[in-house]
Amino acid sequence: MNMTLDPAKLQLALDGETDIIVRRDFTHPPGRVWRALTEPNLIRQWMSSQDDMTRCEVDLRPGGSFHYEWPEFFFSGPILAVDAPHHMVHVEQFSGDASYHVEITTDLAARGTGSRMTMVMRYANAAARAAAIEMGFTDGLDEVFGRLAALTIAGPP
Amino acid sequence: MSTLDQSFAALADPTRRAIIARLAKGEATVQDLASPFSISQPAISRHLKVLEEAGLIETRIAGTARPRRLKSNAVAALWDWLGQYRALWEAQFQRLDAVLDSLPDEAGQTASDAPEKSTS
Repeated sequence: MNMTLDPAKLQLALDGETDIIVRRDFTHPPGRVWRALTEPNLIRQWMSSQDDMTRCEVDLRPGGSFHYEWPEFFFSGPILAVDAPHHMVHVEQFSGDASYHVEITTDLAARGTGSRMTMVMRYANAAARAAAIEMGFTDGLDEVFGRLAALTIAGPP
Repeated sequence: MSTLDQSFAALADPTRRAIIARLAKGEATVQDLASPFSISQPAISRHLKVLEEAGLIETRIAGTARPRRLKSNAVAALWDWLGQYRALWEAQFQRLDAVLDSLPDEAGQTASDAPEKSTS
């Protein structure tokens, strides 16, 4: 069987009214990717914003929870399903805001000598997904322009 | 100052970025824009003037109303910037790749066998 891996290719897609799907290939097998996705000391190394995480805890079991915190915000929520190293379902909330509620299903499938990760992010309804995309849009601009801030002369007051 | 420089300078302000994000959903009047930002209408008008001079938005005349909307070529430019945002997301996955590369091999175990560590 000839399976090609394309780690450089990140696929983003909207599915139905409520889902965003992210798909990404890795050159390492599912067991190893699973560790990087679930062990706090490894999560800290890659899940960064402009600031380092100040807290990173994962109680990895059905009925457990996670908490990722940065200086100005945090993501946290319950872990609903765990089937290492292939399947996990958790709910993500932003800074304790109950109106922001995303159920995230992560699947890791062996693919050749590597793996393919598929994340399905399910929002409460179409409006919530639209709001999240808008937030991502704004954050994306913030990130791009935040990095350029040092080069940019301030506009008129 | 080139148009691109002017666009970047205009978007250096977070309120103006939020206005652009709002206009990406459709045209809006000064009143529409002022309410979610808890900023006075004159302040919003000043931000709109900067965005309009940068060529990012334009004013439509509809009777007595003056709704603002994104200029279509500005939308194309924003898509390019969204491409950069996507690249930033990809950058996060590339950091994940680096973490994966740094992990020691676990001899004699395949990925689909029992995980190396049980947390329950």
